[in-house]
Amino acid sequence: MGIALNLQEARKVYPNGTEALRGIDLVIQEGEAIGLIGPNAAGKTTLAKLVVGLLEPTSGRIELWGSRFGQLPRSMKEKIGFLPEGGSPFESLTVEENIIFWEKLYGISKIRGEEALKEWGLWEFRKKRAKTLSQGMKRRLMIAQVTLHQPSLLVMDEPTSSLDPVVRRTTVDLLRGFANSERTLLITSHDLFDVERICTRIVILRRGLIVAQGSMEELQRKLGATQQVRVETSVPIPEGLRESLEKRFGIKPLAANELLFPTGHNRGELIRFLVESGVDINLVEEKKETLEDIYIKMVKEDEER
Amino acid sequence: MRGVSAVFWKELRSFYGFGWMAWLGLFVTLALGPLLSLEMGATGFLVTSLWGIFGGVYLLETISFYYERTQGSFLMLLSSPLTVGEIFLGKYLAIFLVAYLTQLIALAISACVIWSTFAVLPPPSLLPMLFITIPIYGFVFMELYSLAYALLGNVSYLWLVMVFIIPFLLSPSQIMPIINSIISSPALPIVLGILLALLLFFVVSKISKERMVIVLS
Repeated sequence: MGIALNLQEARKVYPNGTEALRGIDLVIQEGEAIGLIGPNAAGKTTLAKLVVGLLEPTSGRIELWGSRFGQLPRSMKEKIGFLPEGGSPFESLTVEENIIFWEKLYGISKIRGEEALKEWGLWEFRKKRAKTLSQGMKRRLMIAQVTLHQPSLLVMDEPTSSLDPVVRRTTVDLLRGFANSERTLLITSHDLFDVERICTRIVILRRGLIVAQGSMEELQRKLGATQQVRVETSVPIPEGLRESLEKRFGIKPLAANELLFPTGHNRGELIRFLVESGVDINLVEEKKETLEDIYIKMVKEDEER
Repeated sequence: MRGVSAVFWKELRSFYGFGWMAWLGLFVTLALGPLLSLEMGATGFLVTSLWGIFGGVYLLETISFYYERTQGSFLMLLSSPLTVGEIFLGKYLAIFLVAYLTQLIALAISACVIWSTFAVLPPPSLLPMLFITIPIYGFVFMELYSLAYALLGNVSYLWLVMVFIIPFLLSPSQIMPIINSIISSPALPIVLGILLALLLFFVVSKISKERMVIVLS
């Protein structure tokens, strides 16, 4: 597997003086699924647009499969798919015509177009004009369009925004399948849960700089994330017992019938103590820190610096 | 050419979906020529052809850009492997075809009106101008619009001021004889028009995607 995307000191300053990216170094191997996350104005959309050639870097270098975007032959450019944030299908056309346009553009068979319409649940709406669709359906149509030619590099800006839960699940499953293939995926999202499920590597951007990157495990290690144990009791923990827990184990109950403590604690002894104290235990589970926990921790740490 | 033909097809299909604005424009274009012919006789025939191509081109291109911008679909086009030049060429060809067909229909109606009212037909000497020179300048007109759109964005209608009013304001007494001599020569306007169309197309194809993204945002 070679390098799909290589950004070296990529910087972008808009004509109004806004410095959206302040020197990004990022190497993405073919077959990787990268999730770009960060607060608003972190530079995620700018980075996505730079990658697909909609914007040009002010300085630095961006290479796709070893060549700058402008030097890529047409056949390579056709291997890229991009879903913009806030874009729209061609609203004056019907759903079917929207797909036919992309078939014509990429020289794809009509059968593939029909498959895509069925795959994305758009078949029964194919004769409707795109302007009559709901926002979620329009988004679905756009995803069908940009994945129609089965691109080797798929860049998606907020792919799951404005999708209903069912379609969101389908989209995430499709993107997971995409991520498991040899194709490269770069998505930006505010939905950290989706990113965690789809991506093999997560890049956290803030104010135009990469503040952390790695797999979930690497990020957890880097940020000293701890696994925790959650214990749920069937009845509220009595006041006296709460004090004992605090004195003996240094644990304050999270809620009336819920305890949360780091895995480092002596779990067995604590559970025995609860049972001997007459407390019925409903559930004992290990709770890993989610991407959202890590992300919030990361951004807070960065703000404090 | 696959990309250009895809955009051409999309534009043609889109005109059906534009709704009442496009159809009203088309109706006005078709009705204006015959009305002017009734008022002005054979001169109305010339006005009809000018309105047919320039008015049609202006209306359709404005509507096309307006819809693409407000709906956000232009970004989808730009993010495809199409170049800006291919996008514009596909649009031009579709717009030109519709405007030209409209012009031909309007001219046919006007000729009938002139014949039935004044018992004369427009002079045959007008034909090369109507069917060659004016379409070429219609194309130039479209390219100027695209260039103005890329430079001025939302206020691109200002290009009309640049194209038509400024030259006359500068020195009408000097410009008019030049225009007259160009029109009176049979080949010069055609050659000049083709050169101008090629030059403008070269300039338009050099517009970067980034420029268009900034204009659209």
